[in-house]
Amino acid sequence: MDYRQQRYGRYNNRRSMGSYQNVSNVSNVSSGCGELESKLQEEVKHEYCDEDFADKCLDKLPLAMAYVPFQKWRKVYDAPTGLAHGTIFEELVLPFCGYKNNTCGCGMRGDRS
Amino acid sequence: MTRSREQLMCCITEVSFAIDDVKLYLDTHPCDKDALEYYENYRQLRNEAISEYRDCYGPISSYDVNAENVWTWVTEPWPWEGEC
Repeated sequence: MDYRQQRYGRYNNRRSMGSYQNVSNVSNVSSGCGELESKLQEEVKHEYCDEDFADKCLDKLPLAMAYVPFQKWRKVYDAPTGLAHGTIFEELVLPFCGYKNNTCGCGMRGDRS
Repeated sequence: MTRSREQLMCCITEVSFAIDDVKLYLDTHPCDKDALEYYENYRQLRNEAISEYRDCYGPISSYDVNAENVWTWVTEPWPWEGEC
């Protein structure tokens, strides 16, 4: 495994999700609220499966060069709106919603159209 | 109309943030006329707000103290005390 994947990649997520699952198991035994816990575990498992599926799909795709588009002066907020969003650039308002794209009904995350 | 202490501090925070952000943009786009105009506009607003704050409510930093009779830096709540 590449060291960058270990530190930053989805492998890291998986490991932390794994420990979450272990915690669930422990409290399952001690607190007796098994139903809720197993529901949670099902959800976690579901996410695992999706992730594995995505992994397999990505494995078939060719490797690519990374790129950073040169920013243009457009869609700029005024100062109060900028402070509220943490950036004066509307194009950089990209709330992190877990692993999914934040589509907000307006195309891809970070859509530049 | 004089702005309240809270209004002025809010304005200073907002324009300072906008300036900090446009500064980052200008670092990589030093000739962008629109960005320069944006920067200049907010720099002026910030200077005005800071002057107004200093004249009405006391210095924001100890470099702004006009030391004539009293060391005014300690006579008003400091900006980080949550009073403004």
